[in-house]
Amino acid sequence: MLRSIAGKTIFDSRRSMIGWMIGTAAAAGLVIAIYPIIRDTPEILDLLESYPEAMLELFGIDDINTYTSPPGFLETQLFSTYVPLIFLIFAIGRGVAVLAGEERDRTLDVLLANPVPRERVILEKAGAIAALISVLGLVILVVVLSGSLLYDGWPSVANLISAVISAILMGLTYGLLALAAGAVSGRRGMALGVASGLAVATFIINGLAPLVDGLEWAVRLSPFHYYLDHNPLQNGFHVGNAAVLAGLCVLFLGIAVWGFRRRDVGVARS
Amino acid sequence: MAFAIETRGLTKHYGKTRGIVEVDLAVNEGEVFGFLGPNGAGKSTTIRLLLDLIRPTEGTATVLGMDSQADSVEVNRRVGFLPGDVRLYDTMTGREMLTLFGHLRGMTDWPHARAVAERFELDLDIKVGSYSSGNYQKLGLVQAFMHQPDLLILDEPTSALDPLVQQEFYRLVDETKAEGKTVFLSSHVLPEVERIADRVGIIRDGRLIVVEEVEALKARALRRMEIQFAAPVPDGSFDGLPSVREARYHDNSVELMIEGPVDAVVKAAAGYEVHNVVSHEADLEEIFLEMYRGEI
Repeated sequence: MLRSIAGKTIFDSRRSMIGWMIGTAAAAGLVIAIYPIIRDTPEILDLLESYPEAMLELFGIDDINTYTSPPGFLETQLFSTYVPLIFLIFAIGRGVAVLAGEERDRTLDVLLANPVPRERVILEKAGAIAALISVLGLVILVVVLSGSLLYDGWPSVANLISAVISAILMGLTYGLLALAAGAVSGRRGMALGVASGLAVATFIINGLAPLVDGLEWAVRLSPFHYYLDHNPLQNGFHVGNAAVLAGLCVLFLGIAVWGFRRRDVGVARS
Repeated sequence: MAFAIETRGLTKHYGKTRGIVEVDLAVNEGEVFGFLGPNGAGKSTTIRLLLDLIRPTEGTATVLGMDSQADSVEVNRRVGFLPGDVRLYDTMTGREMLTLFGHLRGMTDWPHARAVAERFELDLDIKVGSYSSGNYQKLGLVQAFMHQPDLLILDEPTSALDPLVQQEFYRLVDETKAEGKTVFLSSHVLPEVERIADRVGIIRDGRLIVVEEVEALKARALRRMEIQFAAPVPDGSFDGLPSVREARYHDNSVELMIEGPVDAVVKAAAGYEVHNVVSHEADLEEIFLEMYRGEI
């Protein structure tokens, strides 16, 4: 594991990763455990119908009628709430720590004294973030798959994998945004602020833009739109939406490499 | 002779703050070069430019004949670097950190690093974060020496080292030089480098103001000597002696500023009953003050 910068970055997370895996599994397990309550309580639909449309939209409930079906339930209760919350906090945290955090700790000097070009430092750290997020995705996948042993009408394995891939791409998008902000600025606070600020803003845009006349188009500016818009749990993989998120990842990676190669290291005060 | 380090007009500004100004430095291959200056004079800025951690505002630097920016990866391959006030990976053990750096250099084993760690009596199996500041600095040195580089660039290497370890470090530098390698080290105090360096460059306020052989510098440096006598000596007894620049007469003692050999002073003192002689080594500030008074 200590053979490369990517391995070292994963090595650094080995302890906290156990906590993240347990927390992720617990959140997913809990949601799956409460499914029978929702399924067997038709009155909940009446409650939902009384909610304003904006609220439903924010909760990711597109269609009340599918809410009590397993795919609808999983999408609203797990993939629209816990999954983005966990993946974003995790990915942004890693994206900030691996570069801006290391620069603030001033260990970047000895790391860069090794015969390793700066772009490789970025690429390996980005690769480590992708691997770590994928581990959390795998945890979600395994836990949710176990639901198919318990309930009828559970989404297919292929559709669940599609949703998890979508979630990994969405998390990675924001993780690499944080990495890029740190690579360009050299400031930990800046990296954290830019990434989490944009995450909140784009989450709200995704929820509210469709409700505002004349602003429906704005939803396309939010990466979240490309995460669940195609209802992967019902419809499976969507190449176009995945390509948009992957494209954003590549863009942020490019910005990170460009920003890190061009500037002085270890001079910013953050 | 080829230069291990050569800078031309090297200038760095941080925004409006001065870093260094038009530094022309030439370090010969195979020499030990001491880079001296007060804190904040620009030593670390110069060193970080050589390592391509920061980029010059103007000017160029070549390291081992390679451009410091274009060939920075190759430079790093052949240079061992100890950053000033080094920070290392606190959550790893020394062994884990050296394993990582070894792999980044394509080394699966690092016997030389182990040997240096052994000489420094450094335990590699405890977390770096729990090292004392002295052990922290030792590990910084071990990683700089681990690949037996052709050029060592060490920023304040002896800070935080206790005197016995400093001696071991000086021996290591001597051996490294004997192998034909170049050592470039910075310090803010003269005695530290004068015993191991062949030449020193002095930087002040961002400008390289002098490069000189250590021996010549010491010869030109003023030293303060105090001689205590059994009884007062007549005023003027030491005036005009060769190498005495200044003499002050107190009750039973004389305070002298001396440049060069002390022979005449000792012979003049022998005419009286001497109780004690205290000689102070020249320090960097005195050299600055005396050699460059009015020139800067």
